[in-house]
Amino acid sequence: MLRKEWPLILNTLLAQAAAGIFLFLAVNHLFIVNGVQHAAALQIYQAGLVLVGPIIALAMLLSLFHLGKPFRAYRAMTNLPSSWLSWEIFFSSGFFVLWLACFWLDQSGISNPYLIGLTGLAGIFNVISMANIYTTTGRPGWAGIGTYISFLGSMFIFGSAGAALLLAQDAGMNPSALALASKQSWLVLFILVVELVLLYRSLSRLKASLQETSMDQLVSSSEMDEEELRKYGTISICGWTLSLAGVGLLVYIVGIFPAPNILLLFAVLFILCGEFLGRSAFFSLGMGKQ
Amino acid sequence: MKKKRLGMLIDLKRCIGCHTCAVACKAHNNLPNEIWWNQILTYGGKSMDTPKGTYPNLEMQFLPLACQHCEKPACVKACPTGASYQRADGTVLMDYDICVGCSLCIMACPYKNVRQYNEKTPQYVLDFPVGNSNVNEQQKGTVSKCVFCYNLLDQGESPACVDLCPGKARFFGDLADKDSEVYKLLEKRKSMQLLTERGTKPSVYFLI
Repeated sequence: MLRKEWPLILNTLLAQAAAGIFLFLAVNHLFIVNGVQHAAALQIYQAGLVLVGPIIALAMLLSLFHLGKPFRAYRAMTNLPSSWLSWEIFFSSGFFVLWLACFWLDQSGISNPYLIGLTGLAGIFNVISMANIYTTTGRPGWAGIGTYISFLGSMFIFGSAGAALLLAQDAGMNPSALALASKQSWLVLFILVVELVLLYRSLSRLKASLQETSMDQLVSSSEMDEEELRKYGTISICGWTLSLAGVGLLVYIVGIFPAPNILLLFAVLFILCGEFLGRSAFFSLGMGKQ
Repeated sequence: MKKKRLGMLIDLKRCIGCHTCAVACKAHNNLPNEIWWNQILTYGGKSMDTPKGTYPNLEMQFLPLACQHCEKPACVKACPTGASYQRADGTVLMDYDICVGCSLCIMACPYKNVRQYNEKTPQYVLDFPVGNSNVNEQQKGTVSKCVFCYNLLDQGESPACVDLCPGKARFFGDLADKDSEVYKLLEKRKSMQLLTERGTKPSVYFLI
């Protein structure tokens, strides 16, 4: 299953992680303006900034493994007028370049809010472009708002987890940052609930389509049988449950900071496994019978 | 002058599921061992060549399927390099020299297996090419599909599958030309198309 798609699974997750972590840390940094706490938020932002670039670079590198001709990859940005894949490559490259600029300026002690904002936007547009690649294929498992919620949801989930991890390193326990992290975690929890509703709708729609027996069904590239739908649907739900457990744990951890590191480790592990399972099921449900 | 739109008609009442079209296509285009641009599906039972239902109420229909050369091809729109492109006459072609093998065209295409990915270095049963010398050579790591034998079209001939069908089930021509055989047949006979709700406007019609 998904022998050819594993680079895409990792590429999408890592790119969303990079965008999410940058977004959450940038928000903390730009919106916590109280003197001492601002300095602490800046420290957390700087620590996280080091992670973001390598993560997005790794995401882009992994995507090359999906190509049959990776040395021709430079051509993949040539159809910007119509191809969302070209836009995704544009925004991911742009996000990396802008991150580099933020990182370099930060090393010189300069923090430009406009540049940080632009970088955050590039990350978000990268995630939206990714979602557009799949929704515009028209495949029943991918079409609709569910894909956007899933991709943006992953971005927020990883961002929340990344921010919490970095906060946990802050011995000073910045109250404003903690309050913001708490709000962010609750927001992510809400997104997960919305994700479940949309996942249920998508799976129901797919199940209903299996009842049709027509020539259209026979020739459709997203043909699937009941057993496969049951299998990937179960994997989706398991993935969602693990992510929910991870985010739920995060909400609890942020509420009781300082928390034992083992709890944070479990939260991150649940999230990583949950998101990986969910994304694998996403690709399987869209690709149909392999 | 109305824009040319090449298309194909397949008469399902004549198709006997012999797979001659699939073999003709494979031979003419020098397709590697694992690649078949033309597939003959069976609408009926779970396996090929089996009907559905219980005797005497049985139902079975052969359904030849290849690239539908859509008027609004989703593959062309999705392709990030322009390797998948559409000619002025409506045929959708592939440029293997700029294809990066991302397979997004396969994901975007509504139809099953009409586009195929050359996972391995092309290997052939015979040690020499049996088809035409002016077909583009298959490349490992790229996607290929039916190209309406455009090299034959450019010489004023018909695609290999049309010429060799023993049941004379295939017709080819300009769908926009009122004097063409395909236009007249569409006016005279009932027809259907596949997955029209996807909005790609296929250029292949099935006479029923």
